Amino acid sequence: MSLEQLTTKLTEHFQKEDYETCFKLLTPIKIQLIEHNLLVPNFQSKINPNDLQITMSILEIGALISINLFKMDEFSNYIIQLKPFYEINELNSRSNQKNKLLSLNLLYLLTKGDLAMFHIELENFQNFNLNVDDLEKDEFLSIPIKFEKWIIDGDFNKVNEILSKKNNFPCKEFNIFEPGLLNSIRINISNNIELVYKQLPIENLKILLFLNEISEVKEFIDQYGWKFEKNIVYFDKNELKFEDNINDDREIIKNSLIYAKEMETII
Amino acid sequence: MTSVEEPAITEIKEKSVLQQLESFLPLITNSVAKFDPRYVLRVFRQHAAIRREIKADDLLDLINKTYPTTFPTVENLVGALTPFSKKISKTDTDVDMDSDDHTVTEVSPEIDVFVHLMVQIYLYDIGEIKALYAFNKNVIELLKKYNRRTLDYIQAKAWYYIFRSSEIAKDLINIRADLMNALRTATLSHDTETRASVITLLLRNYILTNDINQAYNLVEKIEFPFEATTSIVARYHYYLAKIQTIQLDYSSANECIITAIRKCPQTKNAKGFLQSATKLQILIQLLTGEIPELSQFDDPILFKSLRPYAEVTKAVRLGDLKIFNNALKTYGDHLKNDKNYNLVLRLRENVIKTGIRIISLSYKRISLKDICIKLHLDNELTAEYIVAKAIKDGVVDISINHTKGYIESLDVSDVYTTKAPQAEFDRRIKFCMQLNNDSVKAMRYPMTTGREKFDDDNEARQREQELLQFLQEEDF
Repeated sequence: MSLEQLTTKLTEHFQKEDYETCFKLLTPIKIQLIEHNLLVPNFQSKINPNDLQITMSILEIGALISINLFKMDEFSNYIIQLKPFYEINELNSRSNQKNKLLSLNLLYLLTKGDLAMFHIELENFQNFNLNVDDLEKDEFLSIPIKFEKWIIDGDFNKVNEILSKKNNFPCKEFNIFEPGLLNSIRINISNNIELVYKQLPIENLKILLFLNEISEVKEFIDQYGWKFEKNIVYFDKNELKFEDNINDDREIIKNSLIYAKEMETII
Repeated sequence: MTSVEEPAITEIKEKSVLQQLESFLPLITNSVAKFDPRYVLRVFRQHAAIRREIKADDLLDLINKTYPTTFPTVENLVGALTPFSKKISKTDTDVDMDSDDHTVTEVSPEIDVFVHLMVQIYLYDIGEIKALYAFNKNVIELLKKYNRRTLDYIQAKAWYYIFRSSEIAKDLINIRADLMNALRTATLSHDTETRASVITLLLRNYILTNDINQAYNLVEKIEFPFEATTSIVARYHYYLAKIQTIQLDYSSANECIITAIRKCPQTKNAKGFLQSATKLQILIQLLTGEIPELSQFDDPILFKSLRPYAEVTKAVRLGDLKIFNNALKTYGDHLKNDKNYNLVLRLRENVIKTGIRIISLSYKRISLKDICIKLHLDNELTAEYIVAKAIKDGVVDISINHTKGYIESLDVSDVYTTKAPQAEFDRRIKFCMQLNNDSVKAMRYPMTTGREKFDDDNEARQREQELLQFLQEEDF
């Protein structure tokens, strides 16, 4: 099959949301793209921008398909392949999926808890002709940015609120990240709780972790190795305690001798 | 140069510049013969002093005198300089005259590269970036040809100017391959100077194109040679701090930026570096919830460039979003120019952190409800999350009492009852002793054991005096 036929087939199936078939189609398409030297935009050879635009939209479809099939690694790969296209000024204005995909990628990084990478991506947006001030106004991009703000602040309540109000998002792909994101903030909260409290009634812990069942809380308790007795959870901390008294005379003498020796060599 | 007498004066000067330039060459040869980079460093110091006075004609004369006319690189050198020469008609006769006088047959690689560097610096100083950019292609080829350890210091500088021209010409992608090659060669041949220099250049390249991830990967993969020249090490720390700040790793970034500022050369030539480093330091402090000392903004060298940052600090200190937004509006372009705008935007969220910090300092015990009211939060649960996060981030030293719904500052433990001060004291003493031992080791003594010649001694003293003088106005 030629590239054209494959592409029309791909878009057909994509619109029908038949993602499995789409996914199978993508590999031969990519091979064709490589043969036509279109998979990676090249600065030197002047390729028709329209051709590159087609490649870009194929990759974009690929990215959306992988998300819908929960193939996150594939999704990351597509994003990486798309970046050089977005860096070309002529092309990035023609894409209507750009902000959506970038925003999904940011959400994905949040679910992984990779805040460092999140900010690296934000810096990179300047190359895609996206102004920092515009990000917060964008329908898609404002969502992960808000989430990140709340996570940094520790305002987990707000994240939970937004997530529990389903269908609040501009497109359905955002919902895919909901469980992952919730899990990631739970891990975040657990890490905080462990340090802050010495003990906590299990009911309170349940509320703090946004869980509904005590059994789910117990899973967390096991995972973190906390102690659980009589409905109260204890957090054992390996506190770093200063030694209270200076009773190590030997140490002092040893040090003083070293100083004396050094002084002697100087004089 | 309007009056009639002026030409005569400049001619004398020109002569002395040329003579100075010529005097560099034996020093370089000396350094090669004795395998001692000190001579090259001395040349750089002296060159910095006359840098602004060098003219194209001086360099042309130097080339004519040093190189045999058939030497392969002469054409490029002369070609690069001729457009800026003022006595175009005369040059031809000069060439003839000089080649009669001097019968040079051999030019050592060191001198060849050095002359190239001189031309680079000249073109850079007069702002002829296009010419420099074209000329650099030859320099890259030339550097590939030679592989001698005595070239290290000169080569490291040459790469700097190669990169600068690419940066100004906005051609950052193409230069990467050359820099990578240079890094590989330098690493393989243990060329510390070039290695360190090229690494910082690559980092700068990535940061300028916002490819922070690539910069980070580079830092991960390489081992930076910390024994290189201090100014390069300072630069490396600065870029490292920048990367770490973007990655939210503020505490490591803070350490790096402090090292960078400390290692920064204490001369007026390093003003630009000091300014950008201080700007970054202020931002890092603010991001960790600290308020920088206000005296920092009064420094006469930094005062003007720090204005926007002073304004931002004021806003954060007062926790006032209105002042903050005003500062962003007035100084937005300035901050964008500094490439710090994104970081400043992050500060907006920091207002809460600062708020918690202030509360924890002023109250011994306060209910979560009161915190909600003070920080305009929605409910107590939110307050609890936020405080918990602040404790984990190490912003505050407090504990939460969940059942009773209040927070309490922890008792500040008296460090003087612990071993900590003693350990710190011990560390410092050992550092001083190490420093003393290292200095003793680093001292150089004359090779001749019996110091019979008083003249030699005198000369050495004079040289030392000279060195001191140059060190005071050193530039790197």
